[in-house]
Amino acid sequence: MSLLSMTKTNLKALFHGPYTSQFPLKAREPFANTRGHIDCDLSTCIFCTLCDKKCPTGAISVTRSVKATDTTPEKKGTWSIEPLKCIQCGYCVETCNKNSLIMKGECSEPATENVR
Amino acid sequence: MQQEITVIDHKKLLETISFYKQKKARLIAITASSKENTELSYSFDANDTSNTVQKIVRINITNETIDSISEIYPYAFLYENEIKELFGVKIKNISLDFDGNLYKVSKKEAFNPNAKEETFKKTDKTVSQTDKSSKKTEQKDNKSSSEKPAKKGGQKK
Amino acid sequence: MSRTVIPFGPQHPVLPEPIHLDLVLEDEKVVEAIPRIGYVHRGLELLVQKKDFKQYVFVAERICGICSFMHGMGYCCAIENIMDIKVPERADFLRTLWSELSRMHSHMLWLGLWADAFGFESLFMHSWRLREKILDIFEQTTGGRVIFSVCEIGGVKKDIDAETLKNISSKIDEIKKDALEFSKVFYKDKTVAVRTVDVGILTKEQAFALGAVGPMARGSGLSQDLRSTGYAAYGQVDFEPIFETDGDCYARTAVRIREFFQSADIIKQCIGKMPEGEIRQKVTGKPNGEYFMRLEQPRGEVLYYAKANGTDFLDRVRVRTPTFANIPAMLETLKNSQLADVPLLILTIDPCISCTER
Repeated sequence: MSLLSMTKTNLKALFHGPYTSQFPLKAREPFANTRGHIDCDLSTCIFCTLCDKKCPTGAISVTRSVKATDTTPEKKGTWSIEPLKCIQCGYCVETCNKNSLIMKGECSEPATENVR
Repeated sequence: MQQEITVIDHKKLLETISFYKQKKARLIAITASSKENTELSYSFDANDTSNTVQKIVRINITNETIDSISEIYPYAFLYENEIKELFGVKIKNISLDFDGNLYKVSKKEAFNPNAKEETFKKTDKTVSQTDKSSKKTEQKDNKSSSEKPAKKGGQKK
Repeated sequence: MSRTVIPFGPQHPVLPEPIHLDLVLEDEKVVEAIPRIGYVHRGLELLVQKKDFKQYVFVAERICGICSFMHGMGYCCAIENIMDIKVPERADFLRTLWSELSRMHSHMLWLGLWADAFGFESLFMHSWRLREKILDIFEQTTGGRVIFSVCEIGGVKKDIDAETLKNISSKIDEIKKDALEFSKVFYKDKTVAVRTVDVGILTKEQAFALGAVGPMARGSGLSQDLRSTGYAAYGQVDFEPIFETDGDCYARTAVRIREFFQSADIIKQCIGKMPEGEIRQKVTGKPNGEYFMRLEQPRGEVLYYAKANGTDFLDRVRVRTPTFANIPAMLETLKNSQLADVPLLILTIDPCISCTER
């Protein structure tokens, strides 16, 4: 039973320098697979509302126009997401048949109030 | 992994459980699930690491009172208290009985679909009462902050 | 002699988890302890009526933050056994890899909290710094540091290519080298020994009579390890359950450190034996039946019960976590102990109260 068993680690730590990085002054690069937030490519989206039904928290809401004359993207329908309800599970990205939903790596910044 | 389920009458519960205790089986958990009537499943594991068969004893009850097995397996009191609170099953003679106050859920018998909805009105009243009492304590705090250190320390019985 | 009752918790500077104990004291010696839990009860088992059985995987993962992957895996294994789905072999090996990495990061987290409980803060900081390297491996392969969302009914969602596997193998070697230095401090330092040897003794008969599971039981001589039943890929990997015979806090620390190194060894075996093939199996139809599934989490044995009736929504899901089973054993070790040792004895069962109360 020794009393000085931490000496080797302490000496190493003296000469190593800080182990932490200077976030938020230096940005932290996310990995390729990191799940940050969801983005939708409206040009390929057909507003089938499948992602609305499959989302476990109900964060995505999709509306679809029924008239046949509405063919421009602005009139066809709307796609919106509430970022504070999203749990970044990726279920919507898998369900989309047209691959118009993408999971991006940057997480949203901390907010001081509940903005919806 | 296999499982063997045997259904028995609730009056023979203590006999069957003592039989498993003599065979030195370990009680894994007591599970309850409720649809038209409540069914309790007691899972056992024989004292052998390579044994992959789980033995389960099941009883079906509607409104009867059943005996607690905490005399035979002393650590069953936690499972029975939880089942008593969440499902409303009447169990007597539990060694450490919390009497429905383990989780203090606001709706009684929350997991039992056949329970009556009489407790909802009571919770509305308790919420408004706590609002009034918190306002009173705020006013008191401003006046008597010097009295607090004298009251600290353990209670003596 | 007069007795005093001191309420301990749920908020206390030394207590890591929201549990309340009423300690009955006689002059600094604890005579009895009466527990109370229920401060973080969320009623997650009732959510099964609102989310269908495929969406419930995300709820099951979020029962606990430390053992999150094994909760998801336990639920998926229970449903797969009800529906008679055979998971492809590569998915089994990937699940084993992530489970063992979870075990490593959980034991490293516990070692840090353990060192902090008796005041050794620099060791706490070093252990958690080492744990960050494991969390980086998780983020690289699954996308999340704590909650993975990678297990699903029928397999896993993401694959790991050969180059990343080699990368993981070399990182595990670095982590093992660093961890060897810290484990020597836990084994040999005199300040650690004074606080842990002969504290909280639980004999083998007491451990069996009180239903202890996990490292709590293995530290007292009971050789119970559910990985020997061979679920996932554990049947094809060589390992022996680790146990010690002394039954005090020092023995339980030794069990967890040895399990850490054993997990590193199992991961290397998995990477060597990983077969090629598919990672998921398509799931059609609805489940009908019931099943009791048991897994080995870092804290002990967990029981998953699922009951289905042929529709999208399940009837009942029940989780019995290892901390729930270890609380009576903890109350037994608290009798006849000193007041200053109470936070140590609560930490020695590795409590995870959010798992216990769901």
